[in-house]
Amino acid sequence: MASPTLFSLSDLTEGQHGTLDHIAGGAEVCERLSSMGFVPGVAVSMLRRQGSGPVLVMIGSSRIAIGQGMAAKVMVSCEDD
Amino acid sequence: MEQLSVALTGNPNTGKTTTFNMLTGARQHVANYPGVTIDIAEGRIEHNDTALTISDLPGTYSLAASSEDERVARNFLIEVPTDVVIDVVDATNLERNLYLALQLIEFGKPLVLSLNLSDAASRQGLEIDTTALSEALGVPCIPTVASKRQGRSALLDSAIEEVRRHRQMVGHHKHPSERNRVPYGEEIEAQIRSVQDHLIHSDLIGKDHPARWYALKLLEDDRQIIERYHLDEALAVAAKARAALEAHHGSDAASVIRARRLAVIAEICRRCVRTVGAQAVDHTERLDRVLTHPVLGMISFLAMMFVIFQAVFLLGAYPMEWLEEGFEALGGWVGSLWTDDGGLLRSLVVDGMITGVGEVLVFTPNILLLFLAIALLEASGYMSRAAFLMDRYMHRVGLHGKSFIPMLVGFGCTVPAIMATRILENRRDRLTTIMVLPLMSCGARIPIYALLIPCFFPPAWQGTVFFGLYCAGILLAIALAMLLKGTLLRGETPHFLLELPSYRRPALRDVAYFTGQRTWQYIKKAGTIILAAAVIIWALGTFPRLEHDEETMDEAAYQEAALRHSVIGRVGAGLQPIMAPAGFDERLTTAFIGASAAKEVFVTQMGIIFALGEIDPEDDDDDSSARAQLRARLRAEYPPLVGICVLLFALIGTPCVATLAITRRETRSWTWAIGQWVGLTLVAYLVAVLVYQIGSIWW
Repeated sequence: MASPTLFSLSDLTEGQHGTLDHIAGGAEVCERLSSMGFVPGVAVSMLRRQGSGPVLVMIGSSRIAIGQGMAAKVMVSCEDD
Repeated sequence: MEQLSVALTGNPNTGKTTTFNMLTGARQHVANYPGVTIDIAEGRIEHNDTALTISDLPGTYSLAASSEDERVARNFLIEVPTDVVIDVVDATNLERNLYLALQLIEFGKPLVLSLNLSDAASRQGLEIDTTALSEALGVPCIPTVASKRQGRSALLDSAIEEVRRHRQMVGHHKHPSERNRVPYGEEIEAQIRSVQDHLIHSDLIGKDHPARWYALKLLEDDRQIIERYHLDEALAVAAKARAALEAHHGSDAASVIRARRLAVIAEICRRCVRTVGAQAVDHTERLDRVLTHPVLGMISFLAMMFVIFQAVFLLGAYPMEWLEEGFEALGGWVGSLWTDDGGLLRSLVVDGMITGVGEVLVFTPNILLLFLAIALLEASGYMSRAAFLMDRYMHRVGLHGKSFIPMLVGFGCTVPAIMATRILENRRDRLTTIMVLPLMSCGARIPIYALLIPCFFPPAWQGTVFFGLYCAGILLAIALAMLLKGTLLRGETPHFLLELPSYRRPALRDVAYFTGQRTWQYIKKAGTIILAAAVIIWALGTFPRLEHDEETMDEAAYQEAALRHSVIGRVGAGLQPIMAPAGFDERLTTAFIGASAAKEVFVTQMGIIFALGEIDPEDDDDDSSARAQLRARLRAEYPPLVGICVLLFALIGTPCVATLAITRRETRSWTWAIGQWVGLTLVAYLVAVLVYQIGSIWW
């Protein structure tokens, strides 16, 4: 068994998935993201990347488009393979 | 009969507006609440001998607001006394939706959860034990399918019942926020109590306010709440309590409290939601493979925009023609009620009111079609995809992807577009978007374009020029946005964060309601602002009067002379030297002064200035119609270069009175409103002068 590794959500490639570990951001960002379903333990997958633009991710059962700067603060644990 | 007020809240994309339409049917109007300074749709209904007033609040994810929309919802919930709150929850996404629900429960207002989209939840194999959920949360949870009007009665029954239960409770217990409390554990509870006691003893909040909730906000260090409700005095106590919590838990108090809430929610969902059977096939995923694709998505987007604009103008042309004929007939008929020439009153009614308002109402079909298209884009879930795709490009010019939505609305009418900027989180982005919105060619520009373009351009070129003007507006908006973001409104654009809802078949009722409401706003504008402007402009264009000597002057020549003699004519003549470098003569200047009330008035003014005399409503022959005659006169009088300058000036300059008013209201500042007017007019002037001067070298 490979051990899980922490990635920034912004570093995930299309199709890659994992679980949300924590948010490395200030109080406001944390509250905002939590209210939209970015909570520890939730399943995360990368649906779409488009150059420098926001990325589209699946968080639990919500599709959220999120700017890369903010996505960088979302730490995701992925199984290495 | 008992009167109850109900606030409808919930996350965005949960079918809140569909629920509102299900509850209230067609009995809705837009209400304005003091302090909330925003229009909130309101519906009145009767249910089991109770009269209910239902307010539809903007969607919000949390009571910690980050956009204007969310602030409105939060301030309404906290400040406007309502008897009961209905929280519309997406049953397919319960865990996330409970985040707001839990905050509302803690706030302590009587609350009912409407578990909307229950049918979709069952299809996805989700089984929600509503009895257990109601018990765990301490509030009734009613499964509904708003689009099919299922659960309406149960929801209303439950809301009324909840008010009664709450009233009994208040008689016996402390504040209801004390019940249904989230169990935070001993350490946190002790700190909540210490802050709460301080709040109660220092009289910082009213007796009927939820002290526990404010105590939590202080512990979470919610700056917005602390500032708005003047809780600064409790900051020292709160800081001490926070420090104690942080020492104990090793992370900040807000995170500790949030983690507890999330744990409670997760536990409730674990107990009340079961997944049975397989998930249905997801259309959203398949559609998104194309529609959110960086290349295919962009192509689809452009194709959709092309189809929409084609449809708006092609389909809109027919009803527009009927309306035009209708107004001409009306004017002719009303005019014929006077046996003599009727004098001033006839002139006021026919030339001022009917013509002025008619010119605007004629474009109602175009506006309706455009708003219909926008409603379909919104209700189907596509709009947020467009914002997602556009963000990369919008970001480069200093705007936000979400700014794209008001801009699209702006092609219909600037007023609802400016209102739509409320979805933007950041005031600088909002201001930038508002400032450049009048550059989107709104419906009122169409009559001007439609009059002038055929005058100066051969048929093969007309479509291109028309399209070119729209593009010129967009390009200028981009340039101005960059300028504003680089100077007055410098600052970071916040990160893009937007939920892309699942694609849904648009509910006919919602689309009809949305389209109807916005179109009605446009018609109302014609009946109020434009009517008033038409009368004022008529008066300014009529007085002081000129004696009509029928021996020496025919009717048309008299009208022209009379206008020159009037206030508008004199102002126009006075301003003409300033406008001369743009190629404008006295008559064009005069027409633009009239158009400062509303763009469309320009066309009306040109008609009067060129003294076309009476319009014969019986005359169906296109070539001799008033519009064709006017075109012929314009073509004879002005070179195409002046035509281009006039078009550009109409595109950029003098935003209408309604825009001025809505900008003032939404920015809460006359400076921005007047700044917008002056700034855009100045830009219009510069562009027109530049084009005319450079163009003159060749022509």
